Amino acid sequence: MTPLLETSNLRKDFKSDHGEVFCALDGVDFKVFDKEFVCLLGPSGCGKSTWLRIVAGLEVATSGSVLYKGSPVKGPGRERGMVFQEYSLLPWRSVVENVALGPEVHGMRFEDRRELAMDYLARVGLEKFAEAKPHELSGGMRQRAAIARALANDPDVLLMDEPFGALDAHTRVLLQKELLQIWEKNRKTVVFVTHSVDEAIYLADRIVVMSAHPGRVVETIDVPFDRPRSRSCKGFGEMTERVFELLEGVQV
Amino acid sequence: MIQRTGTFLAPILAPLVFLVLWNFIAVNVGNDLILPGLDQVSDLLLYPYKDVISMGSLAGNVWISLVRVMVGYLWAAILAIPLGLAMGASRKIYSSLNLFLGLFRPIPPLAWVPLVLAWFGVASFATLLGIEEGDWYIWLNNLKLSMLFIIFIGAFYPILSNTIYGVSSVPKILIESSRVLGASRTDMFCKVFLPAAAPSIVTGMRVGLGVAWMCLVSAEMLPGSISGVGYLITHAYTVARIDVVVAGMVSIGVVGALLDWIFRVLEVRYFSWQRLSR
Ligand SMILES: Nc1ncnc2c1ncn2[C@@H]1O[C@H](COP(=O)(O)OP(=O)(O)OP(=O)(O)O)[C@@H](O)[C@H]1O
Ligand SMILES: [Mg+2]
Repeated sequence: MTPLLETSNLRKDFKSDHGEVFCALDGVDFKVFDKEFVCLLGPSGCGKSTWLRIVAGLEVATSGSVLYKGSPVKGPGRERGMVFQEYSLLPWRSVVENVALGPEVHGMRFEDRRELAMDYLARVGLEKFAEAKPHELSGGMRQRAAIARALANDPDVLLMDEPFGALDAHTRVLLQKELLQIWEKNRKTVVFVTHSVDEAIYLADRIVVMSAHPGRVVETIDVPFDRPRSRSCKGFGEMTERVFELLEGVQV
Repeated sequence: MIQRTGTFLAPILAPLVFLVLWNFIAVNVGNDLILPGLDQVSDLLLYPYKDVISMGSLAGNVWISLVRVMVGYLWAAILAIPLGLAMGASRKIYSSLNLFLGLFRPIPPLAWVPLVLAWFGVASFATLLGIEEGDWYIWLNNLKLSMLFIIFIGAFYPILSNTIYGVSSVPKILIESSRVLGASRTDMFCKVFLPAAAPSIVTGMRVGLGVAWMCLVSAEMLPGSISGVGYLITHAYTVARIDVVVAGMVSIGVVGALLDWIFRVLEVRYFSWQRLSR
């Protein structure tokens, strides 16, 4: 089976203003298969965002290859949607206009794209806030809207960069659950970046653990638990323990 | 109740004190050539359609000035906005033009006068269009090219700088989050850069209009000028009518403040997202 996404021997160097070279990713090999939910887990600064941005086409790799369905990635594309770590809605557009932006740039008619956007807003529970401006929403609501915007553009793979990173623990757990519900209904391939072990085990089919300085893949772990998942299921605690140990070893 | 009358009175308190003080000093000085009384000036302002010092009415002269400023300003906006958009969006265009334009920026509009006179002399729109008599001639002859140029220069730079700033300071996250949806270059420009820069562009247009209006008096002092509120002020001075000078100054102040207010209303109405999303 050919993977949907594949990076091989991926290297990314950043040049500082003084001309020093900093190696953020060093030989990252990593495959993502169709309909899979993969979590990318690693300490802060290990290059998770960098990997995701290269795959999204926002950044160019220094060397190595990035393949999407077997052909090289040359820039951003509709088939690879992204949800960012920071708030990213266009502040002058209402929520529904933001969600409709993808279909709009692909030429969908006004009524159709509005209806579609409303449908996705309902899925993330924001239909009442369709006409609100982003600054009227809470942080959690903004990230929900950003997820709706990415989904409404109908990508094949959804790249999510710590979308819940800035939220409080309670909202975070709530949105994790919602995300899984949406995903169960309409399975897309998801690559979800996080530095929370609990989040990774709760969400993923497979966890890719990275180390920092330089960024490398250290281990891939299959998560065997049934869905819908519960944090109290047998083995969840043990696995959390194991992954924490792995990360500790990595961080030194 | 007291508080409400208080907030109503607060903005007019300072002008009121100023007027009382003015009148008090004017009465005590008792010399119209140094400071005319409040009554003399308000007489002129209350009957703006009356002929003053055989130069036509105050309102008529203000109107002529307004048309001049608008024509010069419009040209500035028509050139500065597209240029600013291009310079803000493209690093190449910016670096190839910025130094050049920056050399002209510090030159005060007034310093252009001799050169502008050498270029255009007393030529006007009437000369350009070859009209030599009739009502149209009188109107178009008021639009001297040299005056329009001075006003143009004054308005050009504030509009240009603000437009460049607006386009080049669009947050990266907004650009990237739209690009990953598959937006084309045209879409990016129309749906991201332009709306994001719109508040800055309008601010530039407001500041530019203010500067254009300030350049008016110097523009209307140029040879060949026989009308306009700027000219009225200089002419009234030579015939020792300080009350007309002050009435002219008040008109410039009021009209300028009014134009500024219109832009501010637009800014609040259409760009509140910018203020609120900070
Ligand atoms: N544009 C850049 N210029 C220079 N260095 C960069 C740039 N972007 C990232 N880096 C460096 O590359 C490394 C990886 O950054 P990246 O943002 O991918 O980390 P991350 O794993 O997403 O971290 P976090 O969990 O904190 O978001 C960091 O050490 C960072 O300093
Ligand atoms: Mg990151």
